[in-house]
Amino acid sequence: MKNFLIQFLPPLIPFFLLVAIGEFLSQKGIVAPYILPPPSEVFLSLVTDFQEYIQACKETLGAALLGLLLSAVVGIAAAVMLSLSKWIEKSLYPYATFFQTVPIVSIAPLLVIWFGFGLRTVVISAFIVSIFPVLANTFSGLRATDPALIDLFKLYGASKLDILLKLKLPYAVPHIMTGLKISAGLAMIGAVIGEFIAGGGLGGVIDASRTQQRLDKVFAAVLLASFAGILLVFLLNLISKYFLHKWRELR
Amino acid sequence: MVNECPVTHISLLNVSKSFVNTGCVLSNISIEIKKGDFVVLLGPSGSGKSTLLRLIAGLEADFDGHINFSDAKIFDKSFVFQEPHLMPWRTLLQNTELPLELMKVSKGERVNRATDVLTKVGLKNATHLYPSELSGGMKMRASLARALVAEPELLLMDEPFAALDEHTRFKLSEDLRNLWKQSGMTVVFVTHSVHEACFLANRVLVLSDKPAKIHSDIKINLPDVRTNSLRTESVFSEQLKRVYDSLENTEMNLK
Repeated sequence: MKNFLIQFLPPLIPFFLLVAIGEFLSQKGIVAPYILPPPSEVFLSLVTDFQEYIQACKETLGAALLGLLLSAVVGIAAAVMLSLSKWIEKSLYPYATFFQTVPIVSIAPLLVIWFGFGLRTVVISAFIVSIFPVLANTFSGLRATDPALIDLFKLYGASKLDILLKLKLPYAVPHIMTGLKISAGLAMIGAVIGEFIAGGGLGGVIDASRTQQRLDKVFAAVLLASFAGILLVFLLNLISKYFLHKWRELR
Repeated sequence: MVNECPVTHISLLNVSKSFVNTGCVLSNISIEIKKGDFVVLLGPSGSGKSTLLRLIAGLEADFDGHINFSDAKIFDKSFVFQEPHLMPWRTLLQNTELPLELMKVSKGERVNRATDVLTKVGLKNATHLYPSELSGGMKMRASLARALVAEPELLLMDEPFAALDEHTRFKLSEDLRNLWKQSGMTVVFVTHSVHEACFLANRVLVLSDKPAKIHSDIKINLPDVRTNSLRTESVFSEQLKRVYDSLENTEMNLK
């Protein structure tokens, strides 16, 4: 019980404090409701439009997860390719950093032109924003492999494929997990921004409510989006804990 | 049987090695090592003895001179590093199986042989543990097991016990002597400790400092079967003195 309190109570205190201040400012008329809606209204909207929010949440989380999965597959494969030779690395890695700096907001409209409205564009948006951390971390993990173990593998006549599958990739697992954890949050952002333009999900709700001056709904959806993001990161932490218990020494 | 008719196992002829950064590390080294012998390369830290060992293992390319083996099988060498270098995601048994796995030995035989060799090094009850669950001494035993599992004809060891506490080091040295005795393999062991060299070796090669040359070649006159009680006997101190004198000589030559 005491552990539980120490875990969950401290982060809740600032939350309730902020809510109370917001409510106070709105009720007293210090801040106009079209600038900051009273938290009680946001909460009310969450309750009355519960079904709509749940549906939107599912869509956004689903798109973010798909984007993240795509990032994991493509990112790890690309990192393996880059690690194969210095030439491939030198000629392609600079372009990989494009994904780190790409201003997704400005290319999202392009994505709609290319891939149309709906889930496909949202997933691709999530993928573009989230691939770099997986790629970069996997790559540095592959390169951090213990050189003595590589020597040992060579001594016993291991093939390049053996070295990759039995040594380098397992060695990179903690790095890959770190990359995925960073990517999870980014995938959520990418999905919401994709939905801004392509419609659907929490991003769609935010965009539509904004034009209708329904700030309570905007706030409710933003709150849910960050909550869903936290959920995704939490899920990845669980997975990484499960996988990494054997890797203790490397962390 | 192997020890009774010693034949040359490894011969190095005029071996030299330079690195771009550090310059000449080994200069004109010629050694003949007999099959089944226990040879210790002794020298100050950074004298190039590890490089020499890596050359014999075939882990360094680009050197001058010749290194020949009496029979040129590829897989008959094993290497033990200064640190255990186990794979943290594998259990001890799986770590020990590795050389056999890479040599495409079947799963059943792998498990049997790995279990056997882990028993030999005293880790029978730890086969299912992960490296992070072991002490430093146990990790080094596991590393030794991994090197022995393929039954190498040549075991190369690069200061493997240097990071262990004295008690563990003595125990492992005693066990290593026994394992060598049982197997008939050739051991080349690198160290900077005169004590370790005298206790383990049949023959000590003293290297001079950079660039390394063979300064002296000392036969250790001690019984084949050695236990730790030997360390306090006078015959042992006599050997120590011979090796110490030789080491001092190399330092005199430098000045």
